[in-house]
Amino acid sequence: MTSTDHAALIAKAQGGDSVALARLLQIHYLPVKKYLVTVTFDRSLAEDLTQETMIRAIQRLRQFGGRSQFSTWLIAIATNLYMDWLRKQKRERRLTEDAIQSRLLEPAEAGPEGEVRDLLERLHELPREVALPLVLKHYYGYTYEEIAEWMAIPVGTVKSRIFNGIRALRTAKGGDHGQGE
Amino acid sequence: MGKENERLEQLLREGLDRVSDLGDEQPPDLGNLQMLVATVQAEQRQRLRADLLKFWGVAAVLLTALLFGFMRSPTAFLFFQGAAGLLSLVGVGLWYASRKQVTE
Repeated sequence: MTSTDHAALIAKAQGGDSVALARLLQIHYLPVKKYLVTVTFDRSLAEDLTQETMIRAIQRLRQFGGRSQFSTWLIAIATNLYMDWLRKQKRERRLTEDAIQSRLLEPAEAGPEGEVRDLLERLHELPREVALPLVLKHYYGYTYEEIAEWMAIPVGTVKSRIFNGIRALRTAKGGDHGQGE
Repeated sequence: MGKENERLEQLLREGLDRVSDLGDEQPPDLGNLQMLVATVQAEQRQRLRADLLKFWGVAAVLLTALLFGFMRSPTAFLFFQGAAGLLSLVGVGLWYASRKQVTE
């Protein structure tokens, strides 16, 4: 689908065409789910949050002004929902840390080996508030400003979290190298 | 340092590509998504209608109470209206003064 077709689909959806809106959601469903799997490491949570993202997108479609790409707008919604989920977990403390961990996808399940697997395990162990901006910046390439806006934190905090996250990953990687050599 | 970061980023990309691999998973079919759109939009319309009704209800009660007060005793009504206006002016003045003190 060309960008013109995509823009036309958005315009139709915003004009009240429910088939166009459904088609738009269908196109973006898997990329949003993929994004949520990378940040949550939890396929069932990613599925729930993807559906929530789609519902939120339907409710707020008129607010999409076209300043960013539609996919970026959806990622922003998904990030907000994930941040809400994290806050709720912290506030309610319904799930213990162990229970949360047990729901998470083990990096080993995905099959990578060696260095990649070590790195994923370390990423998996990072606090989610640190892993999230790191993935958004270094895997998806979003700007510090975009990440700060979505996570509702200052740009400086985003930078320091990413810096600390990279340091933690690099330290672990260096340590493993040291053991191996 | 730069090369080390590049290598780290490459490993991260490789790992996350595998973690997020959804295999041959398909998105929900168009019919299901159309149903979702219809349900969410219907709920939204219902909520809007309920909010409007609440707003009109509260407005009607307030206007009735004010009208009733005015009919019963216009002098007292005007006195309370004036007093409320004056009190809000004093409140705004106090708030402004306290803000000014903080910024100085």
